[in-house]
Amino acid sequence: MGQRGEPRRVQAYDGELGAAVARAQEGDEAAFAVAYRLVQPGLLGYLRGIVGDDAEDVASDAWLEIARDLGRFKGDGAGFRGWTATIARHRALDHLRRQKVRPRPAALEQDLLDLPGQHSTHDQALESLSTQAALELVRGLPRDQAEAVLLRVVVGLDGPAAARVLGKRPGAVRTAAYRGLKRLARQLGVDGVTEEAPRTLGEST
Amino acid sequence: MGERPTQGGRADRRPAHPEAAALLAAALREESGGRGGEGEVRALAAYRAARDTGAHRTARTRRRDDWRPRELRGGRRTLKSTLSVLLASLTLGGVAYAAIGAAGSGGSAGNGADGDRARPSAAASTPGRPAPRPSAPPSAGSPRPDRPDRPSAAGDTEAHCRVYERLEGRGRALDATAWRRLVEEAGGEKNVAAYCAAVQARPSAGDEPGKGNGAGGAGGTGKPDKSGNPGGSQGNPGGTAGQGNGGADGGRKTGGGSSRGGDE
Repeated sequence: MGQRGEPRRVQAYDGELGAAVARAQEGDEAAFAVAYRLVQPGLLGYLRGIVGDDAEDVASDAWLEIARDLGRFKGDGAGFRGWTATIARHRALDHLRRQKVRPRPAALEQDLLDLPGQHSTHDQALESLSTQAALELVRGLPRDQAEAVLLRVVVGLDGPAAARVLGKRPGAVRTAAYRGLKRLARQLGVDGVTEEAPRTLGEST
Repeated sequence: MGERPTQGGRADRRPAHPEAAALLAAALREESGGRGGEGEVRALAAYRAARDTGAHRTARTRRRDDWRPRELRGGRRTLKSTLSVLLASLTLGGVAYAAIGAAGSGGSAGNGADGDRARPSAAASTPGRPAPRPSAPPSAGSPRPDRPDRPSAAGDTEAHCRVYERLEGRGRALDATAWRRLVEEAGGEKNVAAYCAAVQARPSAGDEPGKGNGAGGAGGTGKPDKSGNPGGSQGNPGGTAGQGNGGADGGRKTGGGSSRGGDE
């Protein structure tokens, strides 16, 4: 299964992304579209992990800011993913704060209804993991672990870049990512250890 | 696969538990995400708007916008080097200050023997002058009327020489930097004594009051003492400087000595 190299395949685009960003900064709109298409999948996956169904709206807001501030950015393709993830994260936190003030009916129940049963999740794990099931697993993690895992695995940032996005020390983020992945691996049954009942699955954020 | 040169801390990019990571990435990355969709249309519109108003050209890069590898990034490196320069200057400044302190305090406090020696001589040479050095009237035989408060570089040399002599040839006990500089100026360790003698003779040559005062002043009483000491062989050339130094040194000692005398 070719999934194994997935996180690194993200980084394989870094050269292309860096060139596209440079051209976009020179005024090439098509290059900006290329950069958007390279970055958006990871960004959206990350945002789904923290704001759920509002991810598209939040991503859209983030892109307005990215498009506006593009001239300020300095760096290569990997740097661009870090920079955009930082902007997206700020927009997501704003969104969560607004939600706290004016709570909406939690999306959680709906998500749970959509979820395949636990056992089937496990059975399917090695084939493929449905987006919803994966989201539920990630959102069952403590917040810092979930974010660290998402930034490392889904956005494809390296450790120091993820730490910079989160405003934390690299060591703390490395630990959080490791613990989060370890727990997920156990829940997915891909680490060879007997699966433990995912007690915290229902907890969101 | 290192597509990018791994620079510094960017090396650890492979997460642990690769299977779990791969499954998650496959499930959560939405490869078709937003392609050609409303989000992309809005983003491109915003891009055009910013570009056409020139925002991309005029925008200033803030620290949070600078994602270049650390080696190329200005910020932290500058901060670090600024700090190290600051630290170095503090250290050197401290050394310099200590050297001044050593030279200055030698005159007033010194070691016990020196203090004892300096006091009577100062009292003897200028019995009627109570004023401490800073306010001493230049007319009363102050050896350096042209340099009232702060000795220049030459003054530093003189000060080092005085300390050197007071240390009775154990010149290396001088603060290392000061000692090295002194040796450098003298052109060799052996020449220090002679060099000091020459330096201290210099001001008195053009300075009448210094000479006059020195003849009967502290230099006269101070130097013979020294040459009688065991370490005096190297300090001996001070004897030649006695006349000149007497003026310079006597003036200084007067300040310290007489103020102390007032305490008793």
